[in-house]
Amino acid sequence: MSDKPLRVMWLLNHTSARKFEVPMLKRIGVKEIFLPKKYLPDIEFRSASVTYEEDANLTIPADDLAILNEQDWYCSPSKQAWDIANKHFDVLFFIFYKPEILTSIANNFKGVALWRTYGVAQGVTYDSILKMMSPNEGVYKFKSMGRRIWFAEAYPHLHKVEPDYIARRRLYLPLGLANTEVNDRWTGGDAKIFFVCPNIATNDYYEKVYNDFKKSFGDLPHAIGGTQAIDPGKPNVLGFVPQEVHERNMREFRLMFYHSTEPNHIHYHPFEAVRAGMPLVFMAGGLLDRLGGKGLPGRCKTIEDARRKIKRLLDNDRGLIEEICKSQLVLLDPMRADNCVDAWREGMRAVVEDLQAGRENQPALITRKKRIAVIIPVGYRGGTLRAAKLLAQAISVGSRQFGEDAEVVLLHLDDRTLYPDEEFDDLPEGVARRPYAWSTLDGIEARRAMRFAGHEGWEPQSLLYISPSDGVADLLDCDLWIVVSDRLSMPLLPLRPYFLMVYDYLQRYVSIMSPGADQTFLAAARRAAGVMVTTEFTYRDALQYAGVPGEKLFKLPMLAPAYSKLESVKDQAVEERDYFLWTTNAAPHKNHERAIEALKIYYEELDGQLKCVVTGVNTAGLMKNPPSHLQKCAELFNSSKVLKKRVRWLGELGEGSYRKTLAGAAFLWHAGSMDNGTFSVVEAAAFGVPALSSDYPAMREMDTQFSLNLEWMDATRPRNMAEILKAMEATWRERKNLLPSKDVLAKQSIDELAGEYWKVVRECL
Amino acid sequence: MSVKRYGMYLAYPPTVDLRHDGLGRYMASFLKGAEDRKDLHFVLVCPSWAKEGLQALFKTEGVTGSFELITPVGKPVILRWYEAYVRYKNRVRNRSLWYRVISSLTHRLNWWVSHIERRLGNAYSVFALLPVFLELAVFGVLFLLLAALLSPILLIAVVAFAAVVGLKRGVRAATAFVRQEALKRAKGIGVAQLQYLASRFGALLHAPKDNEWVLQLYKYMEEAESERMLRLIHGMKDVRAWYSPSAFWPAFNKIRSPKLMCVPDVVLTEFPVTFSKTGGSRYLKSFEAVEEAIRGGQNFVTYSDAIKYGTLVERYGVRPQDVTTILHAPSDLSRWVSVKNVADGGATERFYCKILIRSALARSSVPGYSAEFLNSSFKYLFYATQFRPNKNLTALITAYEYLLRKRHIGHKLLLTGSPQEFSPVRELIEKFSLQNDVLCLYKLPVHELAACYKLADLAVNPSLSEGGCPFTFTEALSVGTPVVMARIPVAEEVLTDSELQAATFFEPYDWRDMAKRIEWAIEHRDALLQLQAKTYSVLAKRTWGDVVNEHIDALERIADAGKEQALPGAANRLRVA
Repeated sequence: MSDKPLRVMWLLNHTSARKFEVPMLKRIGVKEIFLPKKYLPDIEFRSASVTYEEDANLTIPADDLAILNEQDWYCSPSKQAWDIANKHFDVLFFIFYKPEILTSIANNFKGVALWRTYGVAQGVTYDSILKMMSPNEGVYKFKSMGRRIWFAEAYPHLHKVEPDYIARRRLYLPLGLANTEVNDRWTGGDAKIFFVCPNIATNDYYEKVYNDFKKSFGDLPHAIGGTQAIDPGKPNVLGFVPQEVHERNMREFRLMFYHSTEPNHIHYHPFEAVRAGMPLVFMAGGLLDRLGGKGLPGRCKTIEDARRKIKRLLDNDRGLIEEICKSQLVLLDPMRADNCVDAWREGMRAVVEDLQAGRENQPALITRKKRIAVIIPVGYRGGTLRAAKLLAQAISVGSRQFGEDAEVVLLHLDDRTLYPDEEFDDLPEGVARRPYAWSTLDGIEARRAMRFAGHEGWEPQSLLYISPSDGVADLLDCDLWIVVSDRLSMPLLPLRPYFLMVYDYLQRYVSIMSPGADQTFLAAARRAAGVMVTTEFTYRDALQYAGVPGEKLFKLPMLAPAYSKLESVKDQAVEERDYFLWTTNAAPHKNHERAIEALKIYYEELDGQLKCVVTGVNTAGLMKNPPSHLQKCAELFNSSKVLKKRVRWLGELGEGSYRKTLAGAAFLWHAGSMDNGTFSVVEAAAFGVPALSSDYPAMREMDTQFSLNLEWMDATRPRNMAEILKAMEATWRERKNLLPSKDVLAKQSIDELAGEYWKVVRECL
Repeated sequence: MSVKRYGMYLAYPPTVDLRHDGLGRYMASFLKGAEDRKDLHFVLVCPSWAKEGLQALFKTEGVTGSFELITPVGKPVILRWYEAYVRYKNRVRNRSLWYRVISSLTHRLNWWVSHIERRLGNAYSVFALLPVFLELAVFGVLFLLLAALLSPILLIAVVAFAAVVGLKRGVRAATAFVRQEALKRAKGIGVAQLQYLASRFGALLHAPKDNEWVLQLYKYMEEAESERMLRLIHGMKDVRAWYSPSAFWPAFNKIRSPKLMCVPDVVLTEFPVTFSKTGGSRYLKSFEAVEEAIRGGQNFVTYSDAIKYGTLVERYGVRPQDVTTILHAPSDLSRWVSVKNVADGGATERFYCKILIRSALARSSVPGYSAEFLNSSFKYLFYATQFRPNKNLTALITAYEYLLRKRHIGHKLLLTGSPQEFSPVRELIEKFSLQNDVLCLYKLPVHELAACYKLADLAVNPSLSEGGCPFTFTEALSVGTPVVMARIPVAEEVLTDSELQAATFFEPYDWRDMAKRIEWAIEHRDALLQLQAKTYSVLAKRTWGDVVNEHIDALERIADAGKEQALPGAANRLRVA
């Protein structure tokens, strides 16, 4: 063990448990304990509270403590917080309230984690909870922690219903009461049953408990205690009462009835009744039986038995009252700290010794670099392929900037026609590439593969799964998979956590697929460990349309190729520029029909002087052999002589030709209606060419990030488009002066932005 | 204290779930408003089939107080059969016996094969294999014997199975043939009649309330039941006066004691074409019933002056002095989502509401999309309404499509009706491909309704016609959500402040104006909320106790008169300046 004192993080906020367990830890020699300061605003946390009283005892830097205090220790604390935790703490207690916490602990904490368990309802096990809440990772992460995780049970039998992988990590740390002193002030003057049943309106379990009680005892005088977050509007329900009223209730009510026959869980209030000297009538078969209640006169085997005893108590049968009150004190014995301390001391000694032994015997492992896969899921070329390369480069550069060098592998479909070798000549240093093919697995194969990978208990939720097959190790050498776009045809077999890089949800705005056809894409985003987007607009659609929760969404800056480093192409003399450049392709959302209408108005009505040069993939014969969605548009174009004369369709140009054409243009025209934006306007700016763009959110964001000073038009109104085109004839020269300088563009280079990408990726490693 | 008894006449047709019915919730509020009046006792007389529904409604709404529920004894036989069929259809299905037998046999056979294989694998000598061979031989002989014994039964079973399958297919083919022939010969009245008869039985089990034959059956049942109810009513001499909260029941006029009928609205007159295409003859029958009830009535209550003068006085020639306008009290939903004794700025309430919304989303019109919608903090517009022609849903969805696609507001639109039961909405959602953005949450329980209101960015009510000021205003404001509404007379009667009107109302016949108002309200949410909260605080002073008191005043007047006579002018009003 290191020379630092043994510090423990007790990452719970349960008030009564804290009152017992924190002093108990101190009693066995743990002097420094961190307590969490944040918890979820869930009604189920009704017994939770925050205290700062242990902070003063911590001998860690105040700044570190401040960061720890900021975290949500029920979900996913930051990497920085885990670094601090690892620096100062060896042991933590946690509860599995949200699935992310187990993954976070397994991925980040180097000490020992004690999963604190207080028992669950009959028929439920902790194993089933793990599998239900975290079907892809729960068991795997638990097992991956090996000897660094313990099943810290509050009652010694809880592990008996759990499978072996949990049961063999059992550690008995008994739950007790902070105060077991008997406060015998009970008078019982109010001849009513006191029945505690919280949150009747919000919790199905307690609603049933309430209904069962009313059915069995509703005809007898009674009062229902327990906090009610939402008023259930039921008679005799007291709801929250001030302390003095509570004390009065414990003093005056004739008896308490405890309903639970749960063998693995117990509430505090029966012990409170015993402490107060109030007769406790309880049902047999529950945990009280194990705590010494089996032979007690207040124990009832049936409801009829309970009714008989309760009636006698309500009738003030002093004999029975005395008999119950006198004998029930035995229930407090196992809850006394003095009776629990040995188990705690022994348990924690085992934990510390095991940790120490583990650390001393740890071999000097050669840690390999983290490896990230950037996967192009379908045969993308053009902009998306370029974006994938930039993403890979940003991760590689970012990791180096953080001193955490990672290897990045770019994966593309194994199709040499689609992806010839020269396509990747520009891959930067630190980025390797690997061809792959999708492999489809049916449910049975998927189950087998997951079992082999250590995911015990994982069951398929889909008929079919896909997995990338790279001919090597099916990408299992990579620690994280990042899929460029959400175009996964079926669920990805969850062998590794994966991120999606989503550029847009175009289908929300343009009818590009039939209803429901995007279901698998949306499901892919919801299953991902994280979704990265590059515009605020897509960020919002990911929240609003894909339904991805905010904590899994990351908005990152747009990455543009290094235009600022390009050698400038020889400029055309300004006065000789007699055309503007329309960059487009054949996709439906490119707004061709309105653009052609606008050009018609521009030339025929507004006497437009500049020629229009069109370039882009599949545009050479766009008006001669139009695809079905452009038939009407082609008719319009071909019916106009002036359009045919003034508009030139160049088709897809090579890089050099394109840049030459761009550099000679008066301005660039972007007439698309809605997408994730086009970097052609950034490239144009780099060549000193201003741009006129359709006004939509992604372009607005691009304009802001790259300081482009674009001119705008309404892409839904052809006349407006034509008028602004006409106006550009007069203003494009002045607009050149508004373009960003090379220095300004350089600030948007990958070197400048890569760190943002790595910050997101490293949190998941 | 002497207790005065008043009667309430309820004649709902069979199979209506009052928990999802506006009138049901109105009645619950009314009876809760009477809880503090210890001098009153209500006698509710309803058909035998409505008793369970009313009890469920009162349980859900937490209605207690001094009232009793009286029904004639025994339900019509045919209704009992139908209810038994529904219970059978909705039963929790266990695996069939056949399935269980087969799976058990398969399981045992698998075990036996594994057992033989294991023994084969574990045999290290030929002698060790002998018991295995013996077991196999015994099994083989037993199997052959069994096959020989069962072969006649098996043969019969195969023949019977083939006959059943053949019969089923034959019936199906014949039905298809009849249908095709009927289509071919549209004038072939005999075939059409056959087809009509067949459709009667099919629809009976599928959507009974929209089937004409079923409606006719319901009518006969209701007529018989109302006679039985009247016999009960006429035996209650201590009831001072009777009140009907709806104008759907003309038999109410047969009560001989003083009586008062509420006419919420006669909305079908304003949308004749769309209503004619919705719900088959159901609406026509309701309409005829309402007209008959109004024409036979003497004393009326409305929720607004707009209905009093615009409908009763002008259209039906009722004298103004025979009509009392009693405005609604606010519908306060806050108790369903107000978390007690937690001072965290509403975080726990919002967390709880998100859980409720997740539960509601799982039952939406597109469960495949919304059940796994993991972001419970999404933004949305909310319109709680049943789908009816007067609700102006077409304009709302058109405005929403514009806001989403052209103005990029990003919000979803949550509605509470069933698109399957109202084709204009379904078709429009499909036309605009808005299946994933216009989500219909059908049959919301009240706590989920409250949660939907609370987490909405904005509540919208574009309704063109209502009986009183729409509850949307108070329901939304009671949980801190601002509202924009159609400028219609019933709303203007209550929300009279000009600044409030300018901020809240839009022109409901112009979807562009609606879109503009919604967009403005989203951008100025806090200011709008602040403005509307002032009005809400004034409206909130009116309670359901006040509503009950005004009804009692009206009932007392007609009771005191000892005979049915005209009522004096309008009672106490609530106006917001």
